Amino acid sequence: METQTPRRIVILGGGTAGWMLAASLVRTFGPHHATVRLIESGDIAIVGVGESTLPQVRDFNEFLGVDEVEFMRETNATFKLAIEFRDWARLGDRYFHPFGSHGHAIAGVPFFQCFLRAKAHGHDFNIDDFCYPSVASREQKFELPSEDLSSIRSTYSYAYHFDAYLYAAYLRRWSEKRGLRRTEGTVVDVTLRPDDGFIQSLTLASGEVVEGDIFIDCSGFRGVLINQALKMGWEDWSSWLPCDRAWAISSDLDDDGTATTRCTAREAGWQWRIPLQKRIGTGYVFSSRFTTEERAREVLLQNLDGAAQGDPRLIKFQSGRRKNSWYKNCIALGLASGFLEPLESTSIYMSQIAVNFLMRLFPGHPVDPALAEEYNRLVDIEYTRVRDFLVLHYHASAERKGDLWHHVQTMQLPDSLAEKMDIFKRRGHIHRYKDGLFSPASWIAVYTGQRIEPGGYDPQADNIDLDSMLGTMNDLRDRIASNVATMPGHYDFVRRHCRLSTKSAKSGKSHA
Amino acid sequence: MLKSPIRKVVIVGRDEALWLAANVLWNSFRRTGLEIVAVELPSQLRPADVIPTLRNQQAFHDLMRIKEAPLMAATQATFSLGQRFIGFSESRPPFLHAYGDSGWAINRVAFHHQWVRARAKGLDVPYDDFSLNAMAALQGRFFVPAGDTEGQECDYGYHFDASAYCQVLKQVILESGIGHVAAARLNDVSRDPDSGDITAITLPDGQTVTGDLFVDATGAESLLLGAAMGVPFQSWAQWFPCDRILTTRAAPIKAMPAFSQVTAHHAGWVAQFPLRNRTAVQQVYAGSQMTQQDALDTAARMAATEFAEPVVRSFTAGRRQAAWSHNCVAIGEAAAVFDPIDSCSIQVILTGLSHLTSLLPLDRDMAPEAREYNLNVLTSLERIRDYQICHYKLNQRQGEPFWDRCRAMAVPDSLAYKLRLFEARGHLVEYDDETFLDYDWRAMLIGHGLIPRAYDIVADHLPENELAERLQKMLGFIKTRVQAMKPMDAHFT
Repeated sequence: METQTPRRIVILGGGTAGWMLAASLVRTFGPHHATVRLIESGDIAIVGVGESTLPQVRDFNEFLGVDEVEFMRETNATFKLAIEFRDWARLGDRYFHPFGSHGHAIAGVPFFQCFLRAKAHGHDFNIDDFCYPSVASREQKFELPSEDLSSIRSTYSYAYHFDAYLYAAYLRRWSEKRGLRRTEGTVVDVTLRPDDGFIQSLTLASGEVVEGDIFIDCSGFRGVLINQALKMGWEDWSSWLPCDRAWAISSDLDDDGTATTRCTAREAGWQWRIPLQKRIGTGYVFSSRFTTEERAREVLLQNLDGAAQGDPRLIKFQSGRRKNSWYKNCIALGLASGFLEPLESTSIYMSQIAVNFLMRLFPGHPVDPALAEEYNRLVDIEYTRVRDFLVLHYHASAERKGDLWHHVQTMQLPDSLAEKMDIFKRRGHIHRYKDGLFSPASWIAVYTGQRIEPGGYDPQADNIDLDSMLGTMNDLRDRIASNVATMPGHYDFVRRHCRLSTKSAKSGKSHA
Repeated sequence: MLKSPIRKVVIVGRDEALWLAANVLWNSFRRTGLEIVAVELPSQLRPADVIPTLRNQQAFHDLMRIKEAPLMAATQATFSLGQRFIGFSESRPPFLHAYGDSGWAINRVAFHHQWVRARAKGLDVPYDDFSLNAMAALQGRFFVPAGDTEGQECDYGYHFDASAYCQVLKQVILESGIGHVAAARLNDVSRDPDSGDITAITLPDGQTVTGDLFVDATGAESLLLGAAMGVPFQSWAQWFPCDRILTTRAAPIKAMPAFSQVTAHHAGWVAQFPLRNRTAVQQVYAGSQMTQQDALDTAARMAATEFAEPVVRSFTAGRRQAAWSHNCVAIGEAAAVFDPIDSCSIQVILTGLSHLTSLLPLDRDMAPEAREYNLNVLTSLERIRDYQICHYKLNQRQGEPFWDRCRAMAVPDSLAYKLRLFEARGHLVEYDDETFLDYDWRAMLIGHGLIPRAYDIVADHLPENELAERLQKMLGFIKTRVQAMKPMDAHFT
């Protein structure tokens, strides 16, 4: 039997990943089960890019018992119903990747197959019209989903846009209030146990030696523990995801009040737009292979929605992941474990799911290597599935011109993605899988938005009477439109529900 | 572009695979102009045969427009809340693999972790005592789960008289517009010399039936996919020591139980399935360890059989290298033969049909559909295989060569990994395309004595005294609910 005596857990690094884990540990373990210490240097900036999240973050907040209104007021938060993609397959294109699905099965046949059949009969519907949160996004509306599950107003989920720096600060206050010990300091040395190479202790610049049983590396790309001390390698994915830089800045709010993150394709990458309560976080993700930093800065500054707040900040990164995120008694989280560009707002999710897996597989004494193997297997599935989904956006950019776009349009795809695309192109069939992000609805949104047209559709769709099928579809579209029309505007709702507290408005200003 | 669309599907086969395929395909495509022909070969069912199911498969019966009550009345059917396993260990008590969950999660921690924790502190209540299904079954009750289980997932299956079930399916489909030809055997299968596709089958009277897509529902003989197309069979005999199945009958049980029972003996096991007019008995054993007479005697001793028409058949567990090749899709045993231990054969047929329905090819060039189908279906077959291996691998019958060998055998990597994680931490590895759900796995693994060495440490967050209270409350709730239930035959209409 593993012993379940108190464990000494040391977290190195206090970014979003570090504080999410710290809060989870504090929430889960009493002091007789574990002692948690977080070490962060006060002088390293958090690479927080004005964060856009997925609905799963609400589970996390609920687990902590976070009050939504309070949390939103303190993190400059707004709501999010979808990501809006502009100019991806073709200049002028616009589509939504929503937190909800398109329609519902008709007579047992998946809605998307009905949609394809309607199209084959000359009914050129817009798929967004059948998805409640897509229409609400387009109309810049928001309200909380209805609790009446029979209502069409319950057919969506939502997430937030917030200031990642303020969110980390919020989690820090939350954790410290519940007994977490935080130390400011920099690691100057890592001591490994001579017999098995496990981490024994960290030496801080102050001379203090911090011992522990489990070490969590949240030190960012450098990977002070997993990489510098334990030499765990990195799998580079930049051939599929060549972007490696971003310029980030804040701008003043304009009058676009949509509850969406907007991702607009640009000449050598794409630009994000994350609306917060008091400002817009924006930035240009680009590939230094296909443009220069100077040119990219220029492109960003030419494409601001409101007046710039300060100067753009350059962020460097590399797409890929740590070969094993859990090695010996060290578990890497956040950027130390992998990076995927924020095109699908996955960064907080990746930390959160890693925290979930870790809590489920948390090691006792001695560390059972089976747990590490399973953790790494589960994390791998997550990274690979998100990677494939991101690559799809770039690859299916049929009519975009420029060196970057030419590269991604003609590159060799991962087999796992090529196979999924083949069967979709043939008949709109979505390959299903159990673990990992992105349901069939997400794949449908992006495939159709990126103008991948299936050559055919399921014959079972022909089993439905055409007129009654079209009637059902028209009715659904009308019900969505008329219900959305009566919703409040997104920013009106935010002002009434969770207006930013004045204290946070000031401190949030300086972070992009 | 599509050059030659699929206009005609020919289903060749017999018994439940044939009639389920005909019903599902007809109802899914009858308004599309697709022509469907069922070529019926002679039945291989014997009067004693039973068809048990794992789930209530309501979606399929709805699709086929078959109502539960008349179907059950016509097939001597009973409900099944699970399957009880006896004698797989010398020291451990019998257990019930319930077709539903056990216990309730507490603060997001799955129940079995709390059970393992409580057990380590001295709790002496079996895992299945926390299952509504198991407790109802063992106390001679039955219920149709609705909203009154406090969120515990509960399902049920059936035991059907095999011939009668097929008769119902056949009758329903022959009233539709499907083509139907009965034949004593297949004389010939013609293939296109260039593409290798099947072009037609020839029957003994000289009649040929042409088609664009051929569904092989011929059972373990796999007449189209195996015999005609030459798709090799991969034996799983290294994991499944039984190769004979003897079927017979015994008197009906007075107070009919809503579960089936599997009892191990020195060279296999005997299963009893309650039907309204009899008890169906299967004696499954290794032909090398037991003569037919021994097998009969053992079955008679264990299940009080009447020796009415005992029939012995041989089988080898395994699967075809592909389930879909060229324009031929195998459904059920034509694709994979399973050890009969878990009543999964209907589920295997329906899984195949469900994938076929959503991948009915658009064109005679159907390689993309075949690839996607094989990807999903072959994985699901192997996950079932893994589940079934556990009954043998985890046995605790010491000193019997048959069972000793099973314990010593190496299992497939996918399963070895799963067993290792469950034993280490009660963590259930779930792969894509699992037929057996998480609760099926937990009930079976724990039932056979694979008790996790440690549990999810988040479980410790709940104070021990509070845990004890919660467990008592669960047991109390189950007791009250079960007391209010009626015996199974009160549910027959």
